[in-house]
Amino acid sequence: MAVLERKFRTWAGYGACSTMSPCYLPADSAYYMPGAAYFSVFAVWSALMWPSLARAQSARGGQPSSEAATRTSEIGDVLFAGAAVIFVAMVVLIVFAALGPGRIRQRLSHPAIIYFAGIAFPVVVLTVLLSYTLGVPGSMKREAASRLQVEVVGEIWWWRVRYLDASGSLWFETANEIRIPAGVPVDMVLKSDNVIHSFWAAELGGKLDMIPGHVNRMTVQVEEPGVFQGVCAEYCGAQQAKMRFSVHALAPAAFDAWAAGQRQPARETGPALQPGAERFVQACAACHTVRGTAAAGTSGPDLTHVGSRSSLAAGTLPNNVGALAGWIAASQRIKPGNPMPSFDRWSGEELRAVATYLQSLK
Amino acid sequence: MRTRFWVELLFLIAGPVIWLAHYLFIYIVNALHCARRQSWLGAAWTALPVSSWIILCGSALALSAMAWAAIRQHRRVAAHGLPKFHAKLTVALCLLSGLAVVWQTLPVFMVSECR
Amino acid sequence: MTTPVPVSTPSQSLPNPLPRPPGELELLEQVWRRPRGIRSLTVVNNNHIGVLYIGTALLFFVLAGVLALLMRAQLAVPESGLISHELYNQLFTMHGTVMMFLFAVPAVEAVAVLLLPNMLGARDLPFPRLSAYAYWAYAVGGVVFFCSLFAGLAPDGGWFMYPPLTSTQYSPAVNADLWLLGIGFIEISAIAGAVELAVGILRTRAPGMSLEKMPIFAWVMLVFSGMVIVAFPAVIVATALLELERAFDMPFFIAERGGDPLLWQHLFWFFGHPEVYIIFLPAAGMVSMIIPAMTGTPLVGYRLVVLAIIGTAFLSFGLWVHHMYATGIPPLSLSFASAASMAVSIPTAIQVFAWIATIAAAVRLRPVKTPMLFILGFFFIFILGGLTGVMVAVIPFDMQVHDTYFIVAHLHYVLFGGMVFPLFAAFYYWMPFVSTRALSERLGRWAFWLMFVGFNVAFFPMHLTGLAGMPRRVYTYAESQGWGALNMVSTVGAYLIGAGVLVFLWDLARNFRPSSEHNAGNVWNAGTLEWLPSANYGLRSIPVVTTRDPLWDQPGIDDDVAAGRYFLPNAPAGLRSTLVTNALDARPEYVLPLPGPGWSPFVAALGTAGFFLLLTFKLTLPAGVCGVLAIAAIWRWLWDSDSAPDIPPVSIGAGIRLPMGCSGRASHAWWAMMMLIIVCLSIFGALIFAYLFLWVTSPEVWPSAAALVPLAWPGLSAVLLVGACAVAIHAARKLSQGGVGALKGYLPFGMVLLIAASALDLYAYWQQGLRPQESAYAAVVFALIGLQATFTVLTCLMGIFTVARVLAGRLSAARRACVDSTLIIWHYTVAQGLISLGIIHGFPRLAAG
Repeated sequence: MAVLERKFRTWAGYGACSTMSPCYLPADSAYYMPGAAYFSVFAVWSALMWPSLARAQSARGGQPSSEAATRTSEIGDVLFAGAAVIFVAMVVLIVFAALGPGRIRQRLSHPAIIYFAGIAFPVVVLTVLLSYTLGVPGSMKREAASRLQVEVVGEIWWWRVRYLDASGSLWFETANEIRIPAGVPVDMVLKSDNVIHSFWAAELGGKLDMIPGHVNRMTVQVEEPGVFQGVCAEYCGAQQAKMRFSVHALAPAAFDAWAAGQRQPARETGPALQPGAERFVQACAACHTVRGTAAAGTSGPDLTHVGSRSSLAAGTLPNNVGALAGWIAASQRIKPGNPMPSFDRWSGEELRAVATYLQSLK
Repeated sequence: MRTRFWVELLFLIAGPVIWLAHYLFIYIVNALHCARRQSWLGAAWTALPVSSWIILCGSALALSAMAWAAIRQHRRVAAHGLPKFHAKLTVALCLLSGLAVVWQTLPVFMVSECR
Repeated sequence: MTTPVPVSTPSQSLPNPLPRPPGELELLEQVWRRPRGIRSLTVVNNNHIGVLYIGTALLFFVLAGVLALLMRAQLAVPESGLISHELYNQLFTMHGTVMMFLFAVPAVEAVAVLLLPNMLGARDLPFPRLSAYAYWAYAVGGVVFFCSLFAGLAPDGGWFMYPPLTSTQYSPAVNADLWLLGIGFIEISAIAGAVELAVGILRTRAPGMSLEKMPIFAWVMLVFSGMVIVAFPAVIVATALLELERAFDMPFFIAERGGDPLLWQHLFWFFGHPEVYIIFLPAAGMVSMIIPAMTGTPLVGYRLVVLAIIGTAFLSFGLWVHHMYATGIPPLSLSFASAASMAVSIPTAIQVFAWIATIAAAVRLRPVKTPMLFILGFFFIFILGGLTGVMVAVIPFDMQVHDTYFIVAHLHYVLFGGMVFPLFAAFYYWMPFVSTRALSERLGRWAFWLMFVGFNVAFFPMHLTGLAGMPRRVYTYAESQGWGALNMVSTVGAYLIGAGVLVFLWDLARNFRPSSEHNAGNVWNAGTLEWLPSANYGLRSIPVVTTRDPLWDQPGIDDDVAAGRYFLPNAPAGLRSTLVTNALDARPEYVLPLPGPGWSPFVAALGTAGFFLLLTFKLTLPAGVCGVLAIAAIWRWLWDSDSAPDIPPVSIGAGIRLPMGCSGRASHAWWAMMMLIIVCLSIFGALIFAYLFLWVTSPEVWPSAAALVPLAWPGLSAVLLVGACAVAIHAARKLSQGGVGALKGYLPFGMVLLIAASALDLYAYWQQGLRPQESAYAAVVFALIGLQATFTVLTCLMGIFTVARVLAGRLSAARRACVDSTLIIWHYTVAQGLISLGIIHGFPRLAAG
């Protein structure tokens, strides 16, 4: 055809016998930047470095506004409803496109459907969605002094919980269980000095990571008293699966009573529990603390009031003498790889004694 | 076609390239503002900090650049006898990228900059 | 859009008249003959490498799938003791790693390697030995990496390998190093493949195939290559930094010394999010090819689909922060990512509706054949996954479902639905291209329904499991948590998927008979060029293309091509060759001689794999030997390039005579080097980001101006670098004027300058007492110096090679591709060095001031 022949003639003109062949264009020095240009790049780059920024202390973390549980679930409902409607509509559309009557198929085969359903519709819907979901209620004003601060530090497969007083210093420490007053906002200060963990109690709101070198803050407010379960939601090694915690919301008066009790050192032990107490200090003080005794180790959970907790081993076991004895004897079999060794050489008597002693620390 | 490939390529993808530059720019500006709280980026001016105003200016600049690229490409296509496809593609990509720029500027008015 | 008028081409106006000279076809066949026996390992033809590549990717899919079945068995009941936590953590890490790195990306690259040249009207890819090398490195490295499971050495830090869990302190064993070094070099292999595909798509198309006539699969792979080139370097840098931290205690991610675990996350996800679109877009491209063929009508909205592909690719680079919503990043920054995540769904919607419109325009659809069945399954699953994707783009919603089984459900819906289903459709669709027999319709239906039902039974409940609070990556869960029933259902579904895949493998065993010479042909009556009659040599002659579906619109094209009436129906000078055309309008520019089978790619791949894997186990001497072997093999391979005796211009037909081979800016080698430079820039950019990020988060470890090295040191280094640049420019000028011998003196002198500059910069800091283990600042400074040193070594190796070629007489003013490539890297090294000096020595002064 004439068109093709014309094309061939044009292309022949670009061939080897013509000076227009791109392969004979000399790779001339115009391509290479002269050395002077390099210096000017260097100079301009240096000059364009952004103006010095004051070396202020970088403020790590801040205060995210807590998702009011209702708002998040409201958003969730809207998303589910919307997604379901759109999905059903898409399936119907595809069925009609494949199997429908000719008239409908003809309409659907027009490029206009791409403009309408593929561009206009999503643009409108997503603009609305974006506006709706971005407008999270602004951060609550920080009355920092009056808000309870609970520092939760992720450890290798347990949670260190430190209650801070108004001045920010340590009020008392516990582990794996967090009790808070209901009806008021509480600040969770999330940290880690080992690997990345993530603090998540689903009923209380979203999750927030605990990252070494960072401090993340989360405000939690529970309206009614209750118990809520939490998990570690970031892969933190072998036993992430067994790193759980619980949050107990108490009526304010009950909370104050509990906190007062927690601040007290360990209960006096009667003579029956002395052997157990001594064995404990001998064998466990290197890692555990029981305030009021000689045990002041910090690498393991604080056990001053362990008897009153709802579970053991970060939500893995129920809290009773038998389970506690079993944990001491065989923690490596229950949570293999965890930093506490199994005291499997102890006799049943020793185990019972120590476990009973610890259970008495209410 | 008397045009270099890489020039043509740059015009075709001008919209998304400007979008990416804008995105990285606004992300970095806000990150710096939040990491250096006492810096001049945080000084407030009619309810928004300086960093947010910089972001808004960045958005205006990005949208203008996209408009310029689209118009320029139309002229180039006519001048060099390139297929209309090139002009349409450039405009369409600029529109899509412009939409993304608008969407990612909205949060400046709705979301707090730092925790 | 008007229906194109079929173009009928009278024989007289075709480029080459009949009858063809005697022996022309025989020579073509002989030159392209496939080696047999042990020499099969030397094969470089894309037809053969492509099939091997796809087969290996499929193998990894099955292997990683078996790992998933083991995981599901463990999770079927609460507190199961079936699999220990150690094994489980290795299983889920390997499942993710193998699926993402050893199956998904290689599979789509493999399909492109196999199909693209034929689809574009080319005989092979532009660098056949490179694709062979990339394949063998991937195959050998991947198999060894997988076998680490049997030795209990498989990595167990998750496919995303977050530090500090994967730092030495918490992962002391060699498992993590295996991931870092093993996967690291496989990523390099993927980049090599991407560069080659991009050059092939841009420069070796059939004459007349302008950009807007390219098949959508070609567009998609072009965009894929661009994404790989920009995104993969980020994970290479992250991998290198973590390995440096583990091997040399350089604290990039250790908070106590100024490092930041979030640095890893930013680098990883900057790669990680485009990665999933790197996986999805080629699959979408396959869908765009299969639907028109199965429905007998051209794709509706072609230009909108092109827009969507390019738009998706770019927008995907802005989404990485949406994997980090829970890390404490400021809300406004998170919102940018949320907005961009919504924006990316628009181009995806465009593609989906283009497909629906094409189905609605179908001329022939029923009975629904297996490829179409898999496509319909893809729609159902992928659309659902895309909708949950929009849901998780919403920040407050994601704060709940992040790191739960809801995300597991979402990611499998989009990846399995969005990539595996189209891939299986592609297997059924393109089987007649590589096999003497198509696959079975009956078995295909069984495979489809088992996989489709199994998938939904397995993964739909996971949405609910996630909403019920089950976190990801847990090896077991308590009875009291109430997730038992949902998990059991998911496990049953997973085994159904397994059954479906087994049926497919059975179908494959029964019907797949690989053959390039006698394939089953165009059984679907499709319209694109890969369905022309082809053999080992690809097409007998390279057609002129006037529309997007040449087989529909140019009647008789298959006979004309097979008879040799179109361009280049022969093997000029007895060499394998293909036609190189202009990137914009596909006019013929030169004939590219291609290499035949050889051992060097295979040996080089073994050497490379050996080097990295032995280094993992700290066996430095054997690793060194493998490294030397690899370099020697690559030397051997490059020694023959661009050194054939001068062949006079070749007549390709229609009175067009073209040079054989090409030097200079129009050559395919130059284009490949330019793309490599973009890779290098991306690596450098990622490292600069690391420097600036660490400065933002840990300013306390940055030195005061007084503690810095005096400016005389970098000043001197800069002078040496500029000197090296000047030497190179001068040498190039001399060469243009015909003085090849000048290179013998200039290049070594220039290399000395480069080495001196790099060594001086290192010494400047060393003599001042800075050690890389001190702080994150020191670590990143030494990393920048190390990067420069690496490029200096690379440049010197290329320089030595160039001088060797001068001495052997294999270089001339006309045959100068070797020098051109060396000088491109040379100038890049100088530029990188200067910018590096500016940052290391200039930035702290400006920031402190």
